[in-house]
Amino acid sequence: MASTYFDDKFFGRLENLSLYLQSTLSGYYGGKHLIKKYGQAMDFADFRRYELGDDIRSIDWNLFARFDKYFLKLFNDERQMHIRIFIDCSASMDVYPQKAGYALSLAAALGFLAVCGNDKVSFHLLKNGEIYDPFGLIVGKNTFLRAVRDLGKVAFDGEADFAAISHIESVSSGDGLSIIISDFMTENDWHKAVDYLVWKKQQVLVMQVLAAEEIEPTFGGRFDLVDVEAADKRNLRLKIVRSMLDDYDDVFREWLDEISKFCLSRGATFVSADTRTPLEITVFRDLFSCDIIR
Amino acid sequence: MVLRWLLPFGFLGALGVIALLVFYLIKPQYKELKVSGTLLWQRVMARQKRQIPVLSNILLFILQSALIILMAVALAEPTLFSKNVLLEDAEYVVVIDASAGMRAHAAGGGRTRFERAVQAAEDNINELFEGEEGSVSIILADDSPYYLVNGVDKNRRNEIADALAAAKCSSGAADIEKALELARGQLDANPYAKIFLYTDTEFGDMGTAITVMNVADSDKEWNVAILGCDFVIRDNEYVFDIHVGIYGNVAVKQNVKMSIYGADNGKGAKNYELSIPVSFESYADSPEYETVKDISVCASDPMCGGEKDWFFDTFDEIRIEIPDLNDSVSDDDVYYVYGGKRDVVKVEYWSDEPNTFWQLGFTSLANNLDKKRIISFREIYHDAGESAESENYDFYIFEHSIPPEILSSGLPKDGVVVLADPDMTASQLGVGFTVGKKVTMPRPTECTAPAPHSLLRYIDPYVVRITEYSLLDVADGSLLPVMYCGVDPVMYVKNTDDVKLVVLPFSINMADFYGREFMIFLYNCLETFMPVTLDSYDYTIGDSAQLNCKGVSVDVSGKENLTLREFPTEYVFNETGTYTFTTHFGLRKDDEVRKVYVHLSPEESKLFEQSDFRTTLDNSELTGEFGTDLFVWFAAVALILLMAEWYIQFKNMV
Repeated sequence: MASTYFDDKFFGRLENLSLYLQSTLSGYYGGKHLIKKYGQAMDFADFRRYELGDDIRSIDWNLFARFDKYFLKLFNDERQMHIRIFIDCSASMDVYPQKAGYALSLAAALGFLAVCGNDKVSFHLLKNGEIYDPFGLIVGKNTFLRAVRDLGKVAFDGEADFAAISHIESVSSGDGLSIIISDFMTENDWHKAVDYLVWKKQQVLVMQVLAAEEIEPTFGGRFDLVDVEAADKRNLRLKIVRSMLDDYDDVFREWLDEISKFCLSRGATFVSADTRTPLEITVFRDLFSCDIIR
Repeated sequence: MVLRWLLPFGFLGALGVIALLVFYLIKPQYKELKVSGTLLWQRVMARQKRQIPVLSNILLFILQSALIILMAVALAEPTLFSKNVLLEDAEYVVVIDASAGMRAHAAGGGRTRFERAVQAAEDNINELFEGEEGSVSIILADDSPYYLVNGVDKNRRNEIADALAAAKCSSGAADIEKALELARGQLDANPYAKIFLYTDTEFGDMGTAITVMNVADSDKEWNVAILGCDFVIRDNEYVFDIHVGIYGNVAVKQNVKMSIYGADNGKGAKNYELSIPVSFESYADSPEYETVKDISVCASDPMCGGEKDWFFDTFDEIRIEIPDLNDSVSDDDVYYVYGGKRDVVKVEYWSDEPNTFWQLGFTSLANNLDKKRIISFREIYHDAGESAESENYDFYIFEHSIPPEILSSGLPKDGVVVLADPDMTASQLGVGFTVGKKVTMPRPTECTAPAPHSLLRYIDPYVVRITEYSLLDVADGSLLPVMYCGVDPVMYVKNTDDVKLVVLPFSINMADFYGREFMIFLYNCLETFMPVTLDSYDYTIGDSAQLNCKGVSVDVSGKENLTLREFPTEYVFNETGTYTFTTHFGLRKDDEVRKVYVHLSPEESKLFEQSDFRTTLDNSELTGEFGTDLFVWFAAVALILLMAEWYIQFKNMV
């Protein structure tokens, strides 16, 4: 079981924030997010000429008195969103214990922000080639906190199959934010998942979590590198020398650049988190800077 | 230039390359490391393959192998020789000890050690020439070693035979160290030269380059040597202590014979003999064992043939001999004792107002010089009708006035004339000065000496204070002023072959010039004008002595005949026996004769000697001196390779 960063102080600070979602989303009635469509909210938005078929209850009679014409009074609409958080629970996320804990904490933080904004939250765990939804749709803080307690007990195992995301039938078009949390150190084609979510008009946040040993490996010598997700297939026998580490650094930067460019091309937001960076900084600085949280 | 390996076993170190190869061939251990994914590492591998990393390992192996081989080569001591150094032919350097000890032969007769050494050397050289080509150098090691022949090959072997036949043993010591220094020169030219030292001395380890051939024969050789003789006058009688050394295994009874010549008790000289029966025994486990026996004998001992109650004061010569001994060395069986007569310094003193300073000064000086000289002081009592003599004295002291007889005959020329406080009459002597007026100082005034002079040695002129003195008008260059009172000279000297003159133009009564300073002044006069010819009456072969002359010249006779005129001079005694030194005084007729005896060094009488000589000559030690040791260069290259290897390793390190 991964160690997490859940504590009351952290959640208390999160209560002052909220997820900032795109206004092009449609969502469900009853939420707090303003959308571009006019609706029944209290906030005035605009006037327009009455057209045949409009609800006459919306006519502004004061304006009719002044101009002898019918105008409708329009109001903003507020919707409830669905925040889907896909967590990579494969074995690779548990090679370094702090990485798994960091990923879960990040998911919990984002989930908490959602329930604070009266949004619906669902956690989807990717492991053993399948996708699990152990907590169902979460609405409200009490339900969320119960779910989070169990989330801390999730075991990381097997391989994550990102393609399974595209088979989730409950994903409605434009109904909210989809967050994928993973290290993305896999040959599994996670790009398809992003493409699918974008096609479903979801706002997509690609959240990468990496341990220090993955960003800047410091070990050297002769090693049999064992891929924990596919030990038989992708083992590497290496004599790691200084020049290799230098190359690793270059390769790593190129790889991050690739991911970033892909996300940019799909309109998704990409954030890479280092487990050495305190979670607060990742949440309150990195997610702030990419305009996910306000 | 030729490269040679002085330690070829060092190449075994190159086997380390095999070990290195084995290390490379052994399957290395790989540690298992679980990672999140190998995606990035695969990309790194793809990059590394483009850089051909295998080259690094190959380069490392080559570097490490080269390093090991270089170290092995350095261990083998590579040395660069010039070709002319590496003579392929054998070279012998023969050093023959020519010290007096090599004159010893088997007791009773036979060939001497030196002859045996020469024969052995000749045999050795012949053996060399029989077998292979080579060259021979022979060094004769006496007190000043030299080459008999140098680098002579087979074709000139008759030169070797001639040189060895002409070689003679010296009477002195051998400077083996210097001889080996000469031999070292041969080793510098050819490090593989062999040095053979033929000697009678037992040496310790002298290194690999030297083979010591000891020609002493402890079974047949023994020696009894008269090492010296001291004498003292005890109870008005001469007592002689004869020191005899006994070396080797010997047990003989023999008489020591003393022949005393010119024994004089003031009533006439006569010769007589003493014969002292002595048993000489030395039983030694070790041939180096030595016994020194002191024989004490009184000249009047009737048991020895002396005449009871007959004492003598002086003697001319004593011959001490152990006859019919037939030991290995005969030169040290005889010994001569001289010094039975001391030098007499005759002083004549004239004064019209006599004082006791001069007589007391000379008497005190005589007491101090008792062992060397007798001072005979004669004061002229003019009132009693005595007259001053102008001949046959060493010192003539005329105070205040000049005796009339001297004025008429002129200053004596066979001795030193001291004119103390001369009056006007001295001007008539015609020695280059006239006496002027007297100068009286207001108080006793200290003297000064601008330049050192032998007459003022050990004298502080400042202590000499003068109240009154006479001014002298001195002709240019005739007298040398040596001491001043104020600006006026108060001591003049003239020292030529025919005039030895000291002028003190002040009265002893009017000066603080007495006690210590006056005694030293008289002593300085003796040493300056009448030095002792030689300090001692017996010397060892090889000793050098300072030879002085009171007169004009000294004739040396005995082992060599020559006349010396420059003094003081160093004289070296090269042969045993009696040397006679005759001093000629020029105008004075009575020449002084002094005899000294030169004997063998006691060290040479020791037949079986062990030396603590520490110099060693080693072939291997000398290698660095004739060849260029390349160790440093190989080590430097190895260091460069080591740094390159370290750089590659550093690049691979994490």
